[in-house]
Amino acid sequence: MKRRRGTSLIELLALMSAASAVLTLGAALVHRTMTAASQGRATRAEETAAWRLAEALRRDAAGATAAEWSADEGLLVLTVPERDSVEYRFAPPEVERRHPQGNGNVALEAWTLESVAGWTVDTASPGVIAVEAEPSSRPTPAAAPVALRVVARLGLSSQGGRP
Amino acid sequence: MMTKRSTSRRAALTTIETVVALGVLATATTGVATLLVKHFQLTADARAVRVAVEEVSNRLAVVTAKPRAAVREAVQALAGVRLEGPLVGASLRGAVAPVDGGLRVTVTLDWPDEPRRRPPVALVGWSFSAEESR
Repeated sequence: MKRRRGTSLIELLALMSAASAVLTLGAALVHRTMTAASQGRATRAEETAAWRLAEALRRDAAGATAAEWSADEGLLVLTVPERDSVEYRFAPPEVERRHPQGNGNVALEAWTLESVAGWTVDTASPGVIAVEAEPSSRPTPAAAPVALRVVARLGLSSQGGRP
Repeated sequence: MMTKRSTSRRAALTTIETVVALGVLATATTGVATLLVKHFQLTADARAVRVAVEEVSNRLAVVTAKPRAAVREAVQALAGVRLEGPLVGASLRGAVAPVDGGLRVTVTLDWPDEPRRRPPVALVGWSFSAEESR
């Protein structure tokens, strides 16, 4: 004769507690994973934009002989000898690069950095420009505000190009 | 065809089965949590390396722009620089070597005190006087 008809109340309570703990942890983890995936995408986009902007600034500064910064307009003009100047317009969260091609066309490139509240551009040092991003205090989709500081030499590529 | 014996035997889950199922679920949860932590570490590392490359490029641009007589002093001064933001705990060092009438400058950024060892970032630049570079 079987004496066991079912589970006891204690067993049932213990199992339900364990199950609810594991399921709560699982649900929290799923939510955290989805948030992390979203943050990861935003961070990746910001980092890529920062990397490409820094690269463009260094390349353009190397080919330029002079730099002029207008804080009111947020406009940085890099003078390139025998060619049209390259313009960078800093209007957070966007940075726009305009480069006339000489045939009437303009090469336009733009980067969006959501975690940047403003820009500091310093052209006071001779032959060097410094561009620094001011992090935003607002919550941003990225995990942390992008850190970007570019100090670039002017006219590097016109100095002979010797390695 | 299902027998009477088999239908009466599988009336519910046993405690052992439930505990095993919860154990598997807990193991999977732990695995995902570990991967999540790893993801955050890798994101922070990638960010730090990107900022490190920018910082070393900046320092190299400033050092190689100096007159040749001042390059060695500027490179030695890198060792005392305190870095901020994602580069807290990192240290800079530089080396100068004469090469073909100019100077070869190497700037390296390392994380000596970081528990998880990040790879050092090193960039090389050259300094020539205006006459030499023509």
